[in-house]
Amino acid sequence: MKMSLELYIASNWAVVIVYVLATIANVSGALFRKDRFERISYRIAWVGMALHTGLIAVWWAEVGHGPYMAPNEVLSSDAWVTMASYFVFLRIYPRIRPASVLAFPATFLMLALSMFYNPGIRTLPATFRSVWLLIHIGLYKIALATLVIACALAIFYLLKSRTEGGWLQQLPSLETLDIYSYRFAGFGFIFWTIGMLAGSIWAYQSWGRFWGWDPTETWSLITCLMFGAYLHLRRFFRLQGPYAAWALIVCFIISLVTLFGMATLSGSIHSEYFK
Amino acid sequence: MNKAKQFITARRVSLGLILLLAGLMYLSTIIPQGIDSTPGQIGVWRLGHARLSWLVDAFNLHSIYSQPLFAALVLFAALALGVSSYDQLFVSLNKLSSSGTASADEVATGITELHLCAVARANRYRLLQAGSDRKLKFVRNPWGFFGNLLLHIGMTLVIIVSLYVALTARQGALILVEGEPHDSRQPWDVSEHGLLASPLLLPGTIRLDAVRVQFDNKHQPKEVFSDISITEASGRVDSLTASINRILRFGGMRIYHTAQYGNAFAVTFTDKSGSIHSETIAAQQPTSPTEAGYSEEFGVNWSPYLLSAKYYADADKKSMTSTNPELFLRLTQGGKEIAQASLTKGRSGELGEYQVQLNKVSRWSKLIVVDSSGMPLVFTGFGIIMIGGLIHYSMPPRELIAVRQQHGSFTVFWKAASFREFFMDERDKVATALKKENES
Ligand code: HEM
Repeated sequence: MKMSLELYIASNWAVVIVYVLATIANVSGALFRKDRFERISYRIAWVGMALHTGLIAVWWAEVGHGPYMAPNEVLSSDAWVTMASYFVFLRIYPRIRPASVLAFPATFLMLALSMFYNPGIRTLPATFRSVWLLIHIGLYKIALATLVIACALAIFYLLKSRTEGGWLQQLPSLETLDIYSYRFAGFGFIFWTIGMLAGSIWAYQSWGRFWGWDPTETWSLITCLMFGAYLHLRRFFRLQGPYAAWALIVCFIISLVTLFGMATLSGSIHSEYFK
Repeated sequence: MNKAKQFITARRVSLGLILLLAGLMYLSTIIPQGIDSTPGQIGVWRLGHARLSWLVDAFNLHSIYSQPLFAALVLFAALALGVSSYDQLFVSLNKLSSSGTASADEVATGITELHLCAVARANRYRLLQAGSDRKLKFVRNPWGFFGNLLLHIGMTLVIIVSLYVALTARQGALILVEGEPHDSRQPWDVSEHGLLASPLLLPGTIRLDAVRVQFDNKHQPKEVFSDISITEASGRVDSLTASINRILRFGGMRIYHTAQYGNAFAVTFTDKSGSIHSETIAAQQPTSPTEAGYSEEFGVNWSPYLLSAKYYADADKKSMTSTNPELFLRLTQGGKEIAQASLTKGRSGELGEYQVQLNKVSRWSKLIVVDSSGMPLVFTGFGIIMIGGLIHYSMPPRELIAVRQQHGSFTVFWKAASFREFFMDERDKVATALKKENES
C-alpha cells in the first residue's frame, strides 16, 4: 500500500491524539478512582495501538526495512513496544496496573517526539540485514518498556511514602510497589544484557570485532553494570524503600542517556545511523 | 588463604569493583581515548582541561582500556566472579536439597501423601528428594536455583576469554580495487595486533576480481559480494567470495566484507607544464540513484590543493546498476573550494588549472582479515549469561516442604526462593487445593 508523506504524518498525529485521550481517561480514572474510566482508557489505548501497528507496517513496507533506522522510526517503535509490553505484563502481573499512569504518557510523548524528526527515508546498509541486529534492537526496546514500568513503580513508592491520601490510596501497598519495581528492574537488566550481547554478536559478524568501546557500547555496558550494582545492593545490602527507589530512578536515567542521549550526541556507529 | 577468599568475594568488594569499572568506563567517555581520537583531538581537550592534565597523565587516562592496570582490575573481577561462582554452586546445591521450614509459610496440615503428590503435580511442583522419611520436598522450577550461578560463570568465562582474545588477536584492513593485486609484503591500510601476537601477514597475494551488488526493489543494496583470489607462495590459487555479514574463512583466518565499497575512478590530471599525473579515487557507493557517494578528501604530492570526489551511480540519476556513472571532482584549499569538474567515462574537462580525464571506472571494496582464536568460547559465555539471567529472573523456584506427623499425615509448608510477594496467589491456590481433602 502506498501512502503519501502528508497522510503518514497526519495519521501519526491522529494516533498521538488517541493515546493522549487514553492517558486523560487513565489518569482521571486513577485520580478520581473511577474504574470505568480506566477500562475505557484501555479500550482507547487498544484502538491507538491498532492504528499505530498499521502505520508502522505501512511505513515498513514503504521504506523496505524495520523501524530502527531513522529517529522517527526508532521513537515510534519504542512507543509501540512500551504500550504493548505494558499490556503483556499487565496480563501476567495484574498488580502493575497503576504503571499505566507513566506508560501511557511515555508512549504518546515518544510518538509525538518522533514527529519532530524529519520522516525521510533512510537506506538500510547491507550490514544491518542480520537477525542479531533485530534481536539486539528488539530487546533494548523491551528493556526500555520494562524499565518504564519499574521506574513508574519506584516513583509511586516515593509519592505514596510521603502522602497517603487521595488517589495514591488506590495504589498497591508500599511493600508491593517496592518488590515489583525490584523485579521489573531485574527483567530490565536481563533484557538489556541480552540485547547488548546480541549487539556484540552482530558486530562480530559484520565488522570482525565483538567489542570496540565505541561510546554507545560503553554507555550500554555502564548501564548494565549500574543495574548490576543496584541488584547487588538489593540482594546483599537489603537496600529497599526510598533509597532503592532513588537508586532505580538514577539507573533509569542512565539507561535513557544510553538509548537516546548517546545515539544523538556521540560520534559512534550507532549515532551515524540515528542522526 | 581463607582470608584472601573472603576478601575476594566480599559483598563490598564486588560492589566496589562493579562501581569502579563503571566509573572508569564513564571517564573513558568524557576523556578522549587514544584508540578512537586523533592526537589533535586529545591536544584540544588537554588545552581546555589544563588543570586536570597531571591527574590524567598520572593514571594514563587517555588509554584506559589498554593499560595494564585496567587489565589487572578486570582479571581481579574475573577471579572474584570465578571464586564466587564456585561458592554459589554449593549454595545452590544446598538450597536445592535443604528442607528447612524456618522462613516458610505453613499452608495445610493433616494431608495424606497421595493427595499431597496429586496437588503438587497439578501445580507443577516436582518431587525432588525424599531424603529423610519425615519430609518430602517438591519444587517448582528447580533449575531456578542455578540461574545466578550461570550468570556469574558466564561473566567469568567472557572476561577471561576476551582478555585472551585481546592479547592474541591480530587483524588488518585492505582497500582493494578490481584487478589490482595486493602482495603479502605490502603494508595493510590499517592493522593492529595484541600484546602477545606478531603482526598479521597475508598468506599470499590477494586480488579483487569483481564486486557484485544486488539491489532490492527500493534500490537498496541487499547483498554485496567481493570475488577474490589468493595466490599462495607455492603458486596455488584459491578463488573465494567475501560478502557482508557472512564470515569467510581462509587458512585459519576470517575475512570480513565491510560496508565500504563503491566505484574507483582512474583519472589523469595534466598540469600547465604538461606533466601527467594518474590517480585512482575510491568513493563510497551511493545510497540511491539521486544521492551521491563521497570519497575522502586527500592530498597529492604534485598539487598544493586537496582533492575530493563524489559520484552518482547513474549520470541520468535513474539506476543503481548503470554503466555510466557521473563523477564530480573538487579542489579545495584552506577549506575553500577552488574548482569543480564533472566527468563521465572517457570524457575530459577542466578542473581549475588542470586538464582532467576519466579513463576507467572499476569497483573497490574494503576487507578486514582477522586472525584470532577463542571467540566460540566468548559466545558460549554469552549464551550462559543469557540463560542464567533469564532463569534467575523469570523462574524463581517455589518449594513445598511436607513434614510427616506422628499419625502419618503431613503438615505442608510453602516458600519462594525470591520475590515471595509475587507468588502469594499461587501459594493460596495450593493451600486451598490441599485443604480440599480435609473438607471432603
Ligand atoms: C565482581 C564480582 C562479583 C561477585 C563476587 C558477585 C557475586 C554475587 C553473588 C554471590 C550473588 C548472589 C547469588 C545468590 O545468592 O544466589 C550475586 C547476585 C547477582 N549479581 Fe553478582 N557478583 C559480581 C559481579 C556482578 C556483575 C558484574 C553483575 C552484572 C553486571 C552482577 C549481577 C548480579 C545479579 C543480577 C545478581 C542477582 C541479584 C538478585 O537476586 O536480584 N554481579 N552476585
